[in-house]
Amino acid sequence: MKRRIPLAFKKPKRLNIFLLIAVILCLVPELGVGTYVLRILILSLVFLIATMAWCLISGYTGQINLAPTMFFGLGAYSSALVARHLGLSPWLGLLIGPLLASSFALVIGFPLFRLHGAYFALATLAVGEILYYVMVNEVWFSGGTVGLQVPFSPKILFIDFNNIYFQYYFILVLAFLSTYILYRIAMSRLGYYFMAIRDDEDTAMSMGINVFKYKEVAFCVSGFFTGLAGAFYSNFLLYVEPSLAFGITPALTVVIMGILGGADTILGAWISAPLLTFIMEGLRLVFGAAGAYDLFTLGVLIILIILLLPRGLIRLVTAAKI
Amino acid sequence: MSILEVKSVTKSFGGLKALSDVTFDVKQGELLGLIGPNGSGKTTLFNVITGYYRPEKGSIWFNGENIVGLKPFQIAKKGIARTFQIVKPLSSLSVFDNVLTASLLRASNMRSARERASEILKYVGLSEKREAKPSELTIADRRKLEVARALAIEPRLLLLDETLAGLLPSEIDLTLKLIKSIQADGITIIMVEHVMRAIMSACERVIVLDHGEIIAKGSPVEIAKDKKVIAAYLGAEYQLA
Repeated sequence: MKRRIPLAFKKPKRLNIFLLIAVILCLVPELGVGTYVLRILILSLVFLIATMAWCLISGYTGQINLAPTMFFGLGAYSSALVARHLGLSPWLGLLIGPLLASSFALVIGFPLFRLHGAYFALATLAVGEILYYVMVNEVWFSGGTVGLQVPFSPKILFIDFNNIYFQYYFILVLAFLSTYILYRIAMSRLGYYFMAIRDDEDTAMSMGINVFKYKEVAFCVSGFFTGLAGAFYSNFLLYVEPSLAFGITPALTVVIMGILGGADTILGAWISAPLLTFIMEGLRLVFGAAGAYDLFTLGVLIILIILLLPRGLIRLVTAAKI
Repeated sequence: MSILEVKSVTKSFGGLKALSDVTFDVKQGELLGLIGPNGSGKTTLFNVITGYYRPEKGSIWFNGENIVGLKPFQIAKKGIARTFQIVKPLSSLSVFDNVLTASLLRASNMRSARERASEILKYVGLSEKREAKPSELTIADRRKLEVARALAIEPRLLLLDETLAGLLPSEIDLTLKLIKSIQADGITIIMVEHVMRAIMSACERVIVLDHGEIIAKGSPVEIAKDKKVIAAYLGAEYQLA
């Protein structure tokens, strides 16, 4: 019986590539790379999780979310607020962030999924912008453009969250877990429903698929993991402000990482997220942030890759849908 | 016994009455032909039965239950499957995955869905092209894929929308054979068709639509002689000649 097992897992050679990446990532802190490189790696893993979650709703289900930051920001702000007011940083925040983002996805999905195609995409952008301006203006709870400091968390259960090695391994484990769960979802019955909805909603309905319900499911799962990335982000930076959490730059970074890696895959982000993070960080290091050379180069890269490899970098490794 | 009863169904688009007061029934196990000139409302009727359009008036009874107001996916679950006149495959998925996705509706797990999808592909004769993308198929095979996908939800009533259009005569015979064997398996079928040879040979009963109204019902032979039908297709003056 021939099964839809992706080539990457059928051919040992290709599985090895992912195992190799995993082993290297686990060993990185032992290589004495210094905290600067570790910090960039942590950031790329945060964006990796958000990007995989974006691929589920936009690449698999075909609902282009131009503002994944609506979930990312809610995760970041809610965990920061929990830390400030309840002092249980960061553990409670890491739970509340994703749950709040996921609930928001459920509620906002009702109006959003009345729209289709480009109109849906534009509406997501609008939701992201609304949340951005709420955070800018409602200074009493968000701190406005000045942002919020996340209080330095004490050691809990002998774990010092502000130790960068702990942070690195923690986000690495979160990334592995998220990959595993999202991958399993994409390969299950749900994954087929999502792809059916993406390819043709009329056909999906004729197969007995409740299109609205499964869009909501994909949106909520996507919201959960994006919120998780956001919750970790503010506890890592110990700071959050509107443009970091809800801005257009982080939003488009996630979207571009998704397309670059291969939007209709889960594992593509493992290539694109670290690559883009390092390229952008490197450019800022060389040219400084003021000239926006990093953003310019990003633009050029996107054009090149969309022209040369429109289905994403993952196709260099495998032709399969993973 | 009727599996489907359509009662006084009316559907308009703006000022245009696409269906007006359409009433007919379909008997359990029959192969009913639905014909009519272009724009007469055949596909609209399919869209109304399967819930894609909601009629302004009338009721549609499937197995004794009024299905007007149900969503297309609910009607699919009740057991009405359809094909689309302009084929609508899941274009990024392989032939096998197309059928597999539909099989999931009745399957309790992925394995049984895979088995069912394999059986259906074998049944319609697409086994060899299971890994192909729909865009790589010939027109005849794309139509077969539509039928396979519809069969995969294990329907009791199958609506075929011009499954034979654009096929070569040899392909028409093969596909017709497939349709008849589906009927022999106990699935009731309504087929919209322009290929009169197929309607004449396959259907016991034919309904003719013109401008959204039923103008004739009967056996293929009766229909072919019916003055109203000839007028609808060829123009009223044709009869005088």
